Amino acid sequence: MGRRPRLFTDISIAVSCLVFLVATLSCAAPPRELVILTYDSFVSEYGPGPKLAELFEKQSGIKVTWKAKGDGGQLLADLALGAKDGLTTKGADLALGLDNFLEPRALALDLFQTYKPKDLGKVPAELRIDPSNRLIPYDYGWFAIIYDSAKAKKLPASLDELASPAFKGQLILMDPRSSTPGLGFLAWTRSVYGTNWEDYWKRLAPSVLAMPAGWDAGYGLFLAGEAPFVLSYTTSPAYHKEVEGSDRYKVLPLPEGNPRQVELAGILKGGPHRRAAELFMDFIISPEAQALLPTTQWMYPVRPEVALPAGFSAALKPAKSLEPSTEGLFEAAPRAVELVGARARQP
Amino acid sequence: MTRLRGGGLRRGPLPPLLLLLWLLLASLPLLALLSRVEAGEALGALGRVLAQERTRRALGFGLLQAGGSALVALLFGLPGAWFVSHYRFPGRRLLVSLAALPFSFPPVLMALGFVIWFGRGGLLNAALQGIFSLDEAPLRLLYTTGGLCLAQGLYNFPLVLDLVGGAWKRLPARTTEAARSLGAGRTRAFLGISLPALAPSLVEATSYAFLFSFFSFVVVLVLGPPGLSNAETEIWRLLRLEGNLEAAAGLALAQSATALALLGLLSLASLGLARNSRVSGEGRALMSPRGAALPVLVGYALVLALAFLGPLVSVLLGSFAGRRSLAATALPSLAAWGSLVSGASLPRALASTLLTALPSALLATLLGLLLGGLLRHRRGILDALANFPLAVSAVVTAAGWRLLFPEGGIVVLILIQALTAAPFAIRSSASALASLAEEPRLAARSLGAGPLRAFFGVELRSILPLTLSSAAFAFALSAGDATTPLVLGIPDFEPLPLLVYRLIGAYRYPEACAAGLVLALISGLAFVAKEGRGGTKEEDVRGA
Repeated sequence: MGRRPRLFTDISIAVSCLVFLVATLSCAAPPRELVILTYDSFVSEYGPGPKLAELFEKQSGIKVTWKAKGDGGQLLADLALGAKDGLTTKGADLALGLDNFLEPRALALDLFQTYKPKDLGKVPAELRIDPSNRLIPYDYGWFAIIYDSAKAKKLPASLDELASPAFKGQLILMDPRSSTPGLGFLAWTRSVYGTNWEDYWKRLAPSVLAMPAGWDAGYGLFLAGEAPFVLSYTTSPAYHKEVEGSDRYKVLPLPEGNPRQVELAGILKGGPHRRAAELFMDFIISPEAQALLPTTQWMYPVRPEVALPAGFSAALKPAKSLEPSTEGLFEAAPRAVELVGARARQP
Repeated sequence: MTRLRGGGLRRGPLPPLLLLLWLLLASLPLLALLSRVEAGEALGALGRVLAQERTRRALGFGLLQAGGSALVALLFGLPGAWFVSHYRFPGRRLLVSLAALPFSFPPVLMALGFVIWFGRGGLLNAALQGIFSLDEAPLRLLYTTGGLCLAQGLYNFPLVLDLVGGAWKRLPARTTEAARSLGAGRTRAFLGISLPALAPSLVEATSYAFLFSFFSFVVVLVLGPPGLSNAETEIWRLLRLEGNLEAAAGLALAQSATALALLGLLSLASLGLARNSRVSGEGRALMSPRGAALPVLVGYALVLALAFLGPLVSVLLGSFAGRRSLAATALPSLAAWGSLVSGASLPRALASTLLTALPSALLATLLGLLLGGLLRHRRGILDALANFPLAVSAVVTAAGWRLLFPEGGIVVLILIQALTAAPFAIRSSASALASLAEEPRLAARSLGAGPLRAFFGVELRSILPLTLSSAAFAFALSAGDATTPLVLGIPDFEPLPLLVYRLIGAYRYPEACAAGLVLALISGLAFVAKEGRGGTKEEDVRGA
């Protein structure tokens, strides 16, 4: 009879200590931090994320937390969902990794705060695609079809030839609904084929081996040898040349030209660390941060004065740079996927 | 004395009420989803969605790949069932215990193994190219419907083997021999006697394989042909990528209706067949394989090794590959483990998994005991209760609960996983308790113990090994679940299956295998512990 109360007291003391400990730990929030939403490859160990965060913390004392759940299209979808349910993107200050193809939809969602970073005047005017300065450019590049010179038996001379039976099951694309390269490719074909783009996609469908949700998975499949052609960037061969000393992967020259992608970042309305977010926006277009981009992100920095590594000579600055229209692009993405699905390869 | 007989609670109106409550609980997420559709023209909107080609295509492909997968499962499972029920051979026990695999080896790992083993740059192709000096990879299975069916069929074949093999073994040789002695040919005896007796187990196995593949999520995400999706992945994309609640709700309704219709058909078929078959007696004695049977057995074992063991072993060994392209790996390396542990993602994932899988297993087992105890003699209600949740998609369940309790987080996850595992626990407890004699409990009651005390003190103790078994099973099910945490999207929470999935998506295969290995170990560990206690059979756990 005497034992039970003592055990009870012991347990309640232990539990209260535990509760107190948990409460203190969760209240002890870091003093200056920033939460940035981005896409997967940006925060991989070879990507720019960790290095940028390190440099930013050294300069400003603010700690950056990156959150990535997929490719660029997924990022936008999360932002849209967060706007509706107030939950998915709670606590996030900044979104980084949208691009010119997603820009109309991103702006239409009215999620971003206008802010003019310090050095914005030094960025060339043709890259500053949002006049309201809600989305700021930080790098750019061109989409391209990359081929494996060791595995590709024949090279198509045009986008049109890529859709011929000779290239059945040889192309890896990305899902335009969730991936920025995927959407960029759709825009590319829409600008080349105009109103006949659906017909082109019907013809292209048998050539598509896989259409994973993100660029990472797709490019990884390409490197594993699953298919000899992949949708990627003109700078991809530069990466292999610089890091692996390999000339194996090359840009497929196409007469139709290559679409330009400008990557954008924006401060989210209602983010808790507004001042820190503004400092980061100043930082991302500063020369020091921009200098990190070429060898980590493998895209061209928006600041023209930043020196490019030698490896970038392998990258084709395309003969013809396209700026495809984004009119009705977002709505066309599910239709494109449907067209590929309708003619998917059967064993 | 009559007052103590047969548990008043069990006979009264409580069981049907429980069933209703349970059905409501299982349908609640779907209803939540439907309720968010614009009230104004809900019916019209849903009608439009259902008429859309996209919906029809998703359902159509879902049915196609589910049917194909079931077929593959039968193709691999039936020969195995024949062998394990007729012959004794080394490795037989192993083959039979493989039946635990579909539930303890998470589907996401099967997808991973498949890519590593069967891919154009995969291990099997590399081996074949080397052996036959080919310059093109001979097998092109990835991202085709056939490849998807192969992966899912392989995942489910152990179930076919176990269910049909078990029933076949119990079929006494006497009946067919009697028919033969009366002049019936071998085929005639088989078709007329063995097949009807095996039919219930065949139907059960096929329906499990079919439903599993119909609702398959992560595997279709990873291995699906480009641009094609089944209803499950399409619902997820509609919710996550397009924010289209209306279309998702419509598709979810269509999907559940289709699954219910199928379940209904299968239950009818199985009832009808069961009535006509009487499987009794100790069954047949096993012989050593002789004559033509031996080379066929060896051939079968070889095919199994290539198709089934290959992917598994790829995952188990893949974590020691240094380079990204596993086929070109020379030396074992711990680089993948190093990066996962130093980045803390693996220890954190393990902790997250344990944090949710243990409570949900506990909860599921408790539910199993309580409801199993109450429903032990009400077979019809029990079957309905256990089967109904199989008709509601995991994506819809998670999405629906997320709408109802947006801030729920881990608690909602635990509840969902417990409710998902509960039907299995309920079934196994019910069949275990039903087989107990009434006397010890009645004796306890007559000595003054209250009903609960009698239950816990007497009956529970007798079925303790089985209860632990089903707890281990519930744990494996919850630990391997990738769908629910993915759809719930709890911030800063990444259990092992999600870590594996993310690493697959980032094409970091060695690390994915490392995480997968840890996941396989903790799921499998529970089963090893169970088998070590004296081999309680899978059929007991499922209450078959």
